[in-house]
Amino acid sequence: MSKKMIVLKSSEGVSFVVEEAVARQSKIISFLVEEFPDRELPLTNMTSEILRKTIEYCKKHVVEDDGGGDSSSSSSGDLKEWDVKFVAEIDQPRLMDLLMAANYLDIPSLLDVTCQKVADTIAACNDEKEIRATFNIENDFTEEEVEAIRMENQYPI
Amino acid sequence: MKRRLTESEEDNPNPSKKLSKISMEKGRKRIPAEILMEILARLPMKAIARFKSVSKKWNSVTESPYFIRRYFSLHPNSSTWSLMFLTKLYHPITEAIGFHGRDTWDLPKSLASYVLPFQPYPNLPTVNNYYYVASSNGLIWIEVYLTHHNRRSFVGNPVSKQWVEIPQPPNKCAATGLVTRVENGLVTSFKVVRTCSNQTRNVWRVYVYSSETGLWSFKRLLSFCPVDGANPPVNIDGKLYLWEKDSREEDLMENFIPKEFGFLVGYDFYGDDNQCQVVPLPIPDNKYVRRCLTTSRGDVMYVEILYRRLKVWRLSSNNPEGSELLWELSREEINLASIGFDVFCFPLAMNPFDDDIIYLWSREHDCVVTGNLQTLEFVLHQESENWSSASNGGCCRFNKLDSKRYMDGFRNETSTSVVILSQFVLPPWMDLVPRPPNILV
Repeated sequence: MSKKMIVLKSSEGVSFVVEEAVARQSKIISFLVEEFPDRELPLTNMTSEILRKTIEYCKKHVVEDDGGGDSSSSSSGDLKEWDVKFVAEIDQPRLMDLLMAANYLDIPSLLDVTCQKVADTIAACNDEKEIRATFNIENDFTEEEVEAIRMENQYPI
Repeated sequence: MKRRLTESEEDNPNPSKKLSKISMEKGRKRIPAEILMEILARLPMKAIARFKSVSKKWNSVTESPYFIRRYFSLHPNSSTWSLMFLTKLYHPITEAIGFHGRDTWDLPKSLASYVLPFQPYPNLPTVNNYYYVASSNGLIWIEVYLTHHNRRSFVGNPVSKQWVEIPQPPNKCAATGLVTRVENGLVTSFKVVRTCSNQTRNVWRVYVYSSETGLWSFKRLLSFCPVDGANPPVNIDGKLYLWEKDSREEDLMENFIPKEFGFLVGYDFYGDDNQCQVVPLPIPDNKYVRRCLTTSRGDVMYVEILYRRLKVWRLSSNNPEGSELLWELSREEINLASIGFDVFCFPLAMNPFDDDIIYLWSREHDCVVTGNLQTLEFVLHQESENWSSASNGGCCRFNKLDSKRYMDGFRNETSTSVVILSQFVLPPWMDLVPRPPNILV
């Protein structure tokens, strides 16, 4: 039995042919393929690199149900381990892009692992200066305002 | 102080106030507030408090009520709690077990160690001057005796070091319990309850101090079982439940309940009427029974061990209004001998979040025992002076020395006592202690 395929097109115009079941993990794509069957889906705000990564994630997480019940190749423990490795290998700017892609395409599990990875990176920072440097955030507080916030939010040790 | 994040704030056109950006490279879009919320809500609470000053956007996102709601859904329980001993004469404030998990408060030590030195009066001798009375939703009530006749009362959070001094009641009455009101996961009000001496028939006379008014008020609560308030209560939010033994000579014929059962008297201090709920304990008194009154997952639980049989009862209601209380066996009784565990044990309490987990005191081994009622695994905690790693990546402490001191004291009391420990559970969020209107910050 041949599987139904669809085409996803990146912002650079590169076409990716994927199984529909894989792509349907995105709630947006799932909706679009029902509304517009047999069409290419242009994803103009996603680079080929990020789209490739997203498809890689979806391929790993697809649960194929062809009569034999849950034929997903990995157990949930393995899958969790794979997720951790998957996000660990991506550098910070691309991780943010992947997070935004997960949000745009509405893939809740990918959004969860990318958000958690960013949160872990933040938690590992020593101070807010390190966070601002890591994430390229501009400090829009005055010294006095920072001091006031610090006084208000003293955390017990 | 708490602000709602709005769209206009998000796209503030005022050029003098530059909005912060998380921009990865030139031309990339900045992170929308709802994504930032998703990220920051996954941080431990300590990191959220520390990193509010990163930018205005971070500060406003973490102050929004949506953020707190999202945080609650990702971290449903505080993993920081202790099983506190209610202080008696010549006992320091201490705990039987203390957990301090990584995922919420991330504290380096257990809760009991935050109470002393007591911030408002740090220099009194620790034994016999500070009394731990009660806890409700992260607040605790401490009594301080400056001298034998000069008493001060405080309600607060020893971890955030916020205390509210409670004025002394207008008449002599004994400390009973603490209740709280919780709205959207945050404690918005507390009440301090004291019981008058010389109770009259069918009436429980109390003085109640409310953080909403900052005043004491006198209440006459109706209970067919007399309440002397000698035993500490267990509490769930606004309700107190007291175990009372009816010491009157005659049986309560009008209620068809033999008085040797003992009763649980419940009252909702945030309710409208003055009628108490009274329910007899599930079995009659027996001098061989060892039992505790505790709570788990928001229910009152009664645990008894009699002839090596362990039974766990849950207080529930047979009507939706909750006016009629009854006891239900929460699971099949467990024969401790048949599972190879029949050491001489007293039930202490249940885990506040897991009604499969029970804590016992082994008199034979002088140590705390953790029992899993589902898997029937019972573990003795002998090396209890150390912190040991708990399953959630946090730590837990089994306090052998102080527990032994308390439980040896319990031996000398009448055989028909009920063990009642206080579950001091830190709230899942950094709440402020509710301030009475007449107390200045």
